[in-house]
Amino acid sequence: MKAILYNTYLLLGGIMWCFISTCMGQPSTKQHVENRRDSLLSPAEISTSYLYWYISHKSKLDRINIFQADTASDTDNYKVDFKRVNFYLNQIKKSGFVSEKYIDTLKKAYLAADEKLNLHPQNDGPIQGFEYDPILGIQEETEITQNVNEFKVISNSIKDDHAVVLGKISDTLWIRFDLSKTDKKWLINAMHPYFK
Amino acid sequence: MKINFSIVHKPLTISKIKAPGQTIQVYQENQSINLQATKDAVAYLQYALSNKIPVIVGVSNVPGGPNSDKSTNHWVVIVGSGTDSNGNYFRFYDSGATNQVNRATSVANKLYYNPTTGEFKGTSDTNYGAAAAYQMTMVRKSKKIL
Repeated sequence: MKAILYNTYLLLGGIMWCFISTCMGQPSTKQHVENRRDSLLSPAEISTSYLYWYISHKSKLDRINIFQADTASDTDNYKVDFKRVNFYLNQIKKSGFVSEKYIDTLKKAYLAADEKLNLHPQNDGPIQGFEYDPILGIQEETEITQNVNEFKVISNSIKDDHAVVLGKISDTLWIRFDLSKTDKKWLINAMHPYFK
Repeated sequence: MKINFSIVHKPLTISKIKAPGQTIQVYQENQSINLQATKDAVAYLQYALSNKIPVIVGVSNVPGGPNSDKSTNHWVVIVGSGTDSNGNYFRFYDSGATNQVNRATSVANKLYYNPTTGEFKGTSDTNYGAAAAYQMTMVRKSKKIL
């Protein structure tokens, strides 16, 4: 009898927890993105969704050790591991929010870093050109990551197959997204912080 | 070489970038140097060092920058000052070295101040700093942690 009562309490508790998390709580960043990905999204929605997607995946992406992949000791020089670059870029691409152009731009940054590291070998400290988050484009990235829920789209201008979305995190920190339409789908070509 | 380097461990933090009255912007790309700002920066650095307070300053060693001034891309800590045959300088610890503490704290890490042009320029002994000279961009005042 006691076991039946105990199991009933557990079941009721579980149902209550599900009810509270689903109905009362704020939707998580992941839910926000997943719920919207399959629908036909506007440039503003694509931009917002990508920002949320990136921040919710950032810690995983940051663990892809692109520059020190084979480093066994502190004195080994950094090198760009292009297998990992491709894996990293593939994860970004799989988000479904960015264009080939966006991926190419990122890839060029890694190629440039590789070139610089060959000219000026480094085995310590930040990588020249990667002293900041390569996606958010800002050094004080917590200004965005900790305040992403404050992000609001301010303007959304569309001309033919191109769009520019301006949104703000705060009065002083804005983000600009440049998009183009390919196969009836808006994709981000570039994303830059914009300081006021 | 005389170095009046001396810091103590005080519970300090840095001001937010562009916090009113807390950041002194001395250099921005594509803008002329504000000589008054550079004098203010020197005065603040001397005040801070005389009170054994280290100061974080922004530097630029590549065009552009991922910060609001679009110039700063790196940060160092001013820990002392001195004069040598090249002029007056501020000595710094470089955050561009994580493992090589001797390079991060090298006595060769100096930013020279030119009072005529208002420029603060120098080099770092770190791997990171070897690629290009540093130009100081801004001073962020140190604050006591309350």
